[in-house]
Amino acid sequence: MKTLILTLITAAACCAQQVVTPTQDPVGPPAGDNTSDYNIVNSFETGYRFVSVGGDPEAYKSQVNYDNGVRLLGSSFGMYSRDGHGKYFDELTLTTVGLGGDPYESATLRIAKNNLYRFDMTWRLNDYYNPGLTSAGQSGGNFRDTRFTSQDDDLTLFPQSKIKFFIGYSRSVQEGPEITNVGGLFATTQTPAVAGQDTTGFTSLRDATNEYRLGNEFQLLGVTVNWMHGWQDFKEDFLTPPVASGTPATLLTNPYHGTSPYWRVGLFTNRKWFNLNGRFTYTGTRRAYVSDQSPFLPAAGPNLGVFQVVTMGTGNRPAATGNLTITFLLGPKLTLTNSTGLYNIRTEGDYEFLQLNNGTGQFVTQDFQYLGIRTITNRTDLNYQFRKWIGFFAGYDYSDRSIGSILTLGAPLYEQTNILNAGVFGVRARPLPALTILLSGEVGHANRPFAPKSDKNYQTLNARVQYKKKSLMLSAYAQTNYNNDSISLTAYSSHARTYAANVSWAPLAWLSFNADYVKLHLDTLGGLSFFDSGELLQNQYSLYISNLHTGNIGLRFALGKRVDLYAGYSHIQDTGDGRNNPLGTGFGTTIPEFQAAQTFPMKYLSPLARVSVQISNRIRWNVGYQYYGYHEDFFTGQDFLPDHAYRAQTAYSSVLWSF
Amino acid sequence: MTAIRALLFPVLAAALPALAAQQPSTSAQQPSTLAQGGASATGFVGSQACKTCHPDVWSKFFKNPHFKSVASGKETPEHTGCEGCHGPGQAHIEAHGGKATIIAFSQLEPKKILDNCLRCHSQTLSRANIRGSAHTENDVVCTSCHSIHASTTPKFLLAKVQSELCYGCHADVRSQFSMPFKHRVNEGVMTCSDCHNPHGTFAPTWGTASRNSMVKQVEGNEEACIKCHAEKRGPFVYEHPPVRVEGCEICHYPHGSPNSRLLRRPVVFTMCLECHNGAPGFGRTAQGDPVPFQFHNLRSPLYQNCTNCHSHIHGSNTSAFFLK
Repeated sequence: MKTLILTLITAAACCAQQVVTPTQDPVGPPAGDNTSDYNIVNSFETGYRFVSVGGDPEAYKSQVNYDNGVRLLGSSFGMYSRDGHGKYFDELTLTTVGLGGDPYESATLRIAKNNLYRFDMTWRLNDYYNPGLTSAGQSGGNFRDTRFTSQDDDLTLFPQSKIKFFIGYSRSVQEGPEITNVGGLFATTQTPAVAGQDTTGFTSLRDATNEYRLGNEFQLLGVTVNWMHGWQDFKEDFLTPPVASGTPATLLTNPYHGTSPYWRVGLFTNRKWFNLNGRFTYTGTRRAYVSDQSPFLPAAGPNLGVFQVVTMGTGNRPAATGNLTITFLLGPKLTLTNSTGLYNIRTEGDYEFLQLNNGTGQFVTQDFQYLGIRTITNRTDLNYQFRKWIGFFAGYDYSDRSIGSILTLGAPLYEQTNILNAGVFGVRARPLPALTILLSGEVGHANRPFAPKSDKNYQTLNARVQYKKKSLMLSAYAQTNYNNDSISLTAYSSHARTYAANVSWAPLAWLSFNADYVKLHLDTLGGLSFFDSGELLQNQYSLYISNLHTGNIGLRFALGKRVDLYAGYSHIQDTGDGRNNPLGTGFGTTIPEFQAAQTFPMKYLSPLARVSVQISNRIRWNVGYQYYGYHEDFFTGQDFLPDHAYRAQTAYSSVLWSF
Repeated sequence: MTAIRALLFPVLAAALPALAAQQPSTSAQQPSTLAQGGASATGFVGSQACKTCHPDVWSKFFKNPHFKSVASGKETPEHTGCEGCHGPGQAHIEAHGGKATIIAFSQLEPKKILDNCLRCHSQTLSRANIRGSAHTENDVVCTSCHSIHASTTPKFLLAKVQSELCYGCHADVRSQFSMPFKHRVNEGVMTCSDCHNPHGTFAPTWGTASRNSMVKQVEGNEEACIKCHAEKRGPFVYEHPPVRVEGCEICHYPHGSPNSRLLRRPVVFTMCLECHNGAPGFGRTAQGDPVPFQFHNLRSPLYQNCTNCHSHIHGSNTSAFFLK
């Protein structure tokens, strides 16, 4: 018993969690309570959450979003049959987080009866403000919530037998704001001369996805076969028509439906000298779209007055993919693995996307732009365990990606091929039982990158050292990732470097400590061309520099047998490129707006503390506090990005109990 | 209403065991009557023998998923109970204990631990790639994350809360999820395994020579992002090609970012212009990604947040410029 309690305390102590609730301390008898043929373990944490926000409330809502109120902050309930022969179930576990009004809620349920069935459910809610949709004259928020809920249900029949059956259902719904454009009806013919037709407006969307799954797994001639057939249906609708200033008579509906029936087959077998596994899928995605606009836009078309535009059509994207991996076990020291992947999709339509203008009787056909991607990859890896404590590995990658495009109906197919060759190498060592070292690198070259940001000439180097002995773990990690995609007009090169160190130590049952520090450096040189007051500026460039320092620290200790304390601190700071003000000495184009956009110094810090007092064996009282502070150094007061700084005091008081 | 829900839930949960207790048990059988059998010729003695010296383990073993093998009564001795993992116990008993006389996982090489667990756990599609996974190759094996006898999680016998397990080695990922904008992993809504399979995956088919980051493949072997962000899937009449060709990561950080919407740049126009610079050789027809039209005066705040107007940037059915 003592061992178990100490284990639970130690495990909880290692958690340098980022949110102060729910409380991690155990409550109730660890062994649970016996009731009839079942054993029950449970804990419930109910309390009140306090929040006070100063500064930009919308920034707070987009990043944190906790609010006042009574909550079931967390709960865990488990029933286990004591003999493995429960009448209806042998295991029932239910856990929840944040029910009762938190913006982040989740629940998991498992019900299982040995040999017969296992049912798993996961439900979650994510409620937040969509940030960053700023435009001139607006305050920066969307003014509306985005709410995402999803539920996954999976039933497995005969989970322990060699023949299993799978039935599943998933549903997700997202409701929230979106910026869309009203007007600009003839999108395909839109030119800069008539671009002013479009008016940005807010709308509220509802996306709903339903997925049904049916599958089976069996063994045949020593090969395990797992297949699944699924149907995913998607539907998107406006909850409210978009309203933009000056277009009060606009009515726009936008039903968008689709289905994605798919087949998936997995095969795998493990033999004495080789392992083979493959996964193959076919998905026949289809989307149907209708847009009905009845605007009154005197300036929006050739005819003044009310008119209606209906746009409709279907789009298809069949996708066939496959993976096949074979590993040869060439003795105790040597393994050779070869993996092949195929990805073949076509994005095409039936070329019947019609745009009908009732006002003019005019038909416009929208060309469905064909996009086809076929990628074949092959990778060979060799692992050689030279000595018991050291091993080497090397590999070679080959990828051939072909992209086909037709931009207008009747135009010829334009094809391009990108071939990428890459090599990897590395060493793994364990010079001491507690010490592991990993050094690895990769060098690659692509002859025809698709975008200036794509990988072209790239190299990565990684080093990881970890020392783990009893309750002490020390680790350090460094990675560089460079990509150079130089071209004649301008240049793109990216240098990312990551350095990390972590220490975790639980020397005593009542004391534990965790700290980590990470530095993420990124400098990216990108070539720019743009219009400045009607003048095309070419051969400009920007050099974006980010030096992001993050630190997390957590300390937990117990005072006597009844009181547990936890204190933590999280600090995120981007020091930018070192200048003192947004228009200070930077790099690249001298236009002030670009200068200011090349670095983003900010701070985001969050100290937290929690006290948990054991009132009795089955009741604990908890109180906690967490502060969130967010500050953008440069953008405060600028007209194109308002001040998003905020300070939030959050706290809670709760009772953690077990019945 | 929300407060009522918060208070009602534990009451309902409390009522559940009472209902269960009313069910007469027709197959009630105490653990002591299970998995009986004396020492066999191969040295298997049955789990009951282990109980004598390890009562703390046995007393709660009925909650362990491995108890199924005991309850079944049909499994062979080498797949049943304690000896299913720790091997025959006869020599261990005769020696009055000791780690040398039994399979003690604390003494095993990582690869041996994996072999031992995979005797039963290999026949599952989600673990088909476990032997070639980056975790296995770096000696992160089953007991590195799973605690068979002292798990603190209700499912999967994890040694800690899942995110803390992952953060233990991936401190850089912890820092990413500490950013102002992030997927809500620390808040408990998501878990690492929503997008990753720690037991290994196939190489992503959607990328060229992509190193395996253990990213799960959803239907159609697409990126894991599509499972929740289904509205981005398309197909659209007008696709934004980088979304399909390079994937979401070309514009977004998947874990967390100091920038809103997990973007790679704090201001939208710099990110867009890094591709839309007209440089020849790129894009769908190798003519370069087009420079914004002349009326886009980039000095004007109106044009600095590109997605204000190009709101359907992931793909559109009515606008070649992703306006709606």
